[in-house]
Amino acid sequence: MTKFMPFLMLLFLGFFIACEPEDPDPENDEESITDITLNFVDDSGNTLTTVASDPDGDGPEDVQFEEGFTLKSSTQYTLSIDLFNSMNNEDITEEVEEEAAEHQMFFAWSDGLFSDPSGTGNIADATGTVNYSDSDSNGNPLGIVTEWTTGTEVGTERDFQIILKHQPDIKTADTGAQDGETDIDLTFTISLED
Amino acid sequence: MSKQSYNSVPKIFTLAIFLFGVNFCFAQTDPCERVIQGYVLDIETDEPLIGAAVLVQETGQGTSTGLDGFFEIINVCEEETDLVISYLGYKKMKHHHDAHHPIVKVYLAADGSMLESIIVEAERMYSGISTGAIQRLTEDQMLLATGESLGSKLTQIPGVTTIQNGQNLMSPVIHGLTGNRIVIMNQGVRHEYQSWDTDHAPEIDGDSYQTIEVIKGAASVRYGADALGGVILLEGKPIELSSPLSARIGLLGMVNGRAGGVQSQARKGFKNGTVELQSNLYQQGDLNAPEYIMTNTGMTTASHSLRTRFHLSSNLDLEASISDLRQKIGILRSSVVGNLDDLEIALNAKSPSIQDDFSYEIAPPRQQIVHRMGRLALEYVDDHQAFKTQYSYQRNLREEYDVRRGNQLEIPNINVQLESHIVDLDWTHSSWNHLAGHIGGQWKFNDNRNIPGTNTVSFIPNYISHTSGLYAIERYTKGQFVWELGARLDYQFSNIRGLDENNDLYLSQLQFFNTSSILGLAYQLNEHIQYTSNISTAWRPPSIGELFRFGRRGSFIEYGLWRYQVDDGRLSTTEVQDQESKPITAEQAFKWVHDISFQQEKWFVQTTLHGSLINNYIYSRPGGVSQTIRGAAPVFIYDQDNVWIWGADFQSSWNHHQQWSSDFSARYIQGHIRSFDSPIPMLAPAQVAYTLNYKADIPWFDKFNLAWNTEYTFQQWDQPPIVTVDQLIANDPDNPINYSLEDPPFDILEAPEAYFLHDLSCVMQKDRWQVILQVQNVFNESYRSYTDRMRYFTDNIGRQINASMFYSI
Repeated sequence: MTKFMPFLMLLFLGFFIACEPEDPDPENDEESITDITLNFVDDSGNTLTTVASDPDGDGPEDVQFEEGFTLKSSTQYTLSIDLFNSMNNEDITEEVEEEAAEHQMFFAWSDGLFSDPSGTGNIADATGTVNYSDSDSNGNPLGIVTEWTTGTEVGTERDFQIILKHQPDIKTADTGAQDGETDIDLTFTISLED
Repeated sequence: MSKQSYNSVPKIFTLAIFLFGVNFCFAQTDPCERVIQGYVLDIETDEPLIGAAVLVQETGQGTSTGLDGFFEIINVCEEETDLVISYLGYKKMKHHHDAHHPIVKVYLAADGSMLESIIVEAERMYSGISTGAIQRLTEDQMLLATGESLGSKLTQIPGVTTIQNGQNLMSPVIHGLTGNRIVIMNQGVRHEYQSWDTDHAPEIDGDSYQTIEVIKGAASVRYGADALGGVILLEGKPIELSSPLSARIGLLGMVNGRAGGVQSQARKGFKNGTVELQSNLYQQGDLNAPEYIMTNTGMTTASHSLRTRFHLSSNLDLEASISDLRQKIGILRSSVVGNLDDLEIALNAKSPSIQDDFSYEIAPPRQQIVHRMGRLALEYVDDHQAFKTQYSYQRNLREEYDVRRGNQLEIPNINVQLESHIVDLDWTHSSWNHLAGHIGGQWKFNDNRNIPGTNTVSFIPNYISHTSGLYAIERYTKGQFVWELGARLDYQFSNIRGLDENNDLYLSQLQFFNTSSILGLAYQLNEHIQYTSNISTAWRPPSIGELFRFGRRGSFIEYGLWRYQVDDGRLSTTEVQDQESKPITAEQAFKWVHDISFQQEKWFVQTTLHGSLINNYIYSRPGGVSQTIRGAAPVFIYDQDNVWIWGADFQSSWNHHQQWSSDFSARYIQGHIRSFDSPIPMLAPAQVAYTLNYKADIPWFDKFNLAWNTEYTFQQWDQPPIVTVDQLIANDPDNPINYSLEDPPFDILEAPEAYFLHDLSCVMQKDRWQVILQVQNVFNESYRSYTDRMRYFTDNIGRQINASMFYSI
């Protein structure tokens, strides 16, 4: 068959228009979040930071977490969460804050990780307590900034899950982690030390 | 003669197709040895009219029809004549006859009837293939499906099903194959669209065609690569020269979805040409399932077309047409999920989570499409041959809107434009030593580009492609046998430029050279039984979407054939592959179709058996679960394997009595992926349907037909393995049990249960008025359809009551 290829190509060449497809324009992905940073700041201003990142976005690589993240036991922290898109160096936190009325962050953790709030969070049970420090224009919580006091039991690795929900037109004081679409769903591992 | 006395508004006609597949003979050569032959029949009953007068206006030659309604006028000298056909008590008609056109059938309408007398020049089959299983929608089927999508109309043909993404996105499926494995011919122009995804329904307004025909066999020889499963042929109705202005206006209304539509059509035949103008508008709001509203399932359609024909000489016709279709189609709001947990919540919900008040608003997720087509065709016909050349241009603009964050909501995440230029040449030669056939060629140029500004990585790249093909199909007729043999050569070249997820440019070139062939037999055993059998080979190059797609669609992540490789059992997408690093072979199909039909005075039975083997079949299958920032998402990869599909379609009708008749139909299909011996997902389950028709004799009405239709759809028992979302979430990537690279395609839910549906319809006619009333899903049954992707999120549409009214001038 290959012998005939040049002949056939010649046959069909008559129809050809020399033409190349246009080069596609690069697109800035303004929606993806690739890096999520948890900043735990204690009363004296000391900051403990851990990052989860997924640099390949929709690629097959799993999210990478930093290993061995620890917090001090029995300490009060203010947690602020940074959302970042490393593909085009864009801060997504601002965007979420601008649209606070349709976003909310939900939290869940292994029993004992925190003494305040008590319980295991508001993901499985929307009535669970989380100390939100910020709110949207309707007075409903957002969750980019939250308050925490760690527990007393040191050593054990415990789960800390955060979920950012996009709840356009449906967010109320009662909506929970079951409502809307998920923008972020990550489970960090945290242990406590003295 | 009076101008008002002849009418020639053709109406949609229907006939047992199998009888006429083969006659395509031409008149004699010697000027005065031309013969005009034909039949005169009653349009309502199909009965021959005996003693009808047929007159050649120019010469006064005339005759009257015999016992079977047949007439023959010999020794006609003129190439073009006007025939006047009249019969007492019937509307007289005039027909402009070209000697080169074959046998005519004249359908006369009774004087009081709303119908107009029409003429049919031969049984014009648009397929050009005589030995395939070809079926056409009947006039009643077309009428009852007014306002429905093309896909939905076509399901009335046994063996044709749909893959749906809700009520308004229906892709036709022929014998288990869809999308870019079937070809749609829109007035002789191959419909070019983004066929790489089954949730892209063809952008066609089914209501602007009067003839819809399906070839249920691989017809690649005639229609080019991709026609593996079959071909759908859409045609308008021919307009008589010198016919008076006629118009038809229709109003449509549907209770469910509070839908309304206006259809209008005007046509006129001049001495040397014809014009037809058509415009259909349609709007529908949120639909209701029996127990809840399906928010964001509205749609709007606006379609316009202009068709003209210039009769340049007795040999030469020029046709020019343009059409424009705009659609906006909403997708159920609650079908949007971010990750597997969201999907689990949606699957377990008794009803969709978002239910707003009824609205006509179509918010994201939605699809917006503009499809434009222009066509120019020149047809030369003489006593020995017909030569047709056609150029067409199509522009398909597709915007898809996803639910995105705030200010991005009104920015489409897919925005592509596909432009196509197609040149067709076809030479039909008349019988020569029992041999007749077609020889022709096709050249197609596609230019696909992403329109910038989507703020997301393009799902498919920019590309251009050239496709050229040459074919010959010859038919040998001897006695009761017709043999058909055809072959085709195709060459395709594509040049691709895309950006990967890091906005780095990748370039690729693709080249395919392939052959298709067909071998068929039609055997007329006696006047009642006809058998056709047809073996065909067809091929299909991988589509650009199957090779290069990359990223998230819905809650799944998809990688095309050239966007991933497997290293040590793990997926990697760091490099874009090409023909050298990862050779891809085109799909190669063999299909064998048998069709047996039996027709008697009161009975009609047709059975189609089909079997296909497709090598290098491209499909998507599990590639593991990827942990993303949004949580766990299942990955699907495109791969190739060999598959087989077989099945049977059955159709019958029985006239019990002048007024009562029954129709019965059934279908079954099965398909397996060979190396997994696992079923092909989303193949339609078996179905049986029964219709009882009653033609009521109500004095005031010209026509009053009632029909009750009952349809039973089985549960799909041959379904792929089930991997629940729970199991997916629990999946350990290092030790996959449920879902890995080695697994066949699966489903996340059991196939929906079997269901019974009942429809009731009534067609009334009085003078120039026609009213259709219909109730679908009479008992407001809650059910889910296996081939509808929305079955994971919602029940199907509940009871639908629709009414349409037409007035003809």
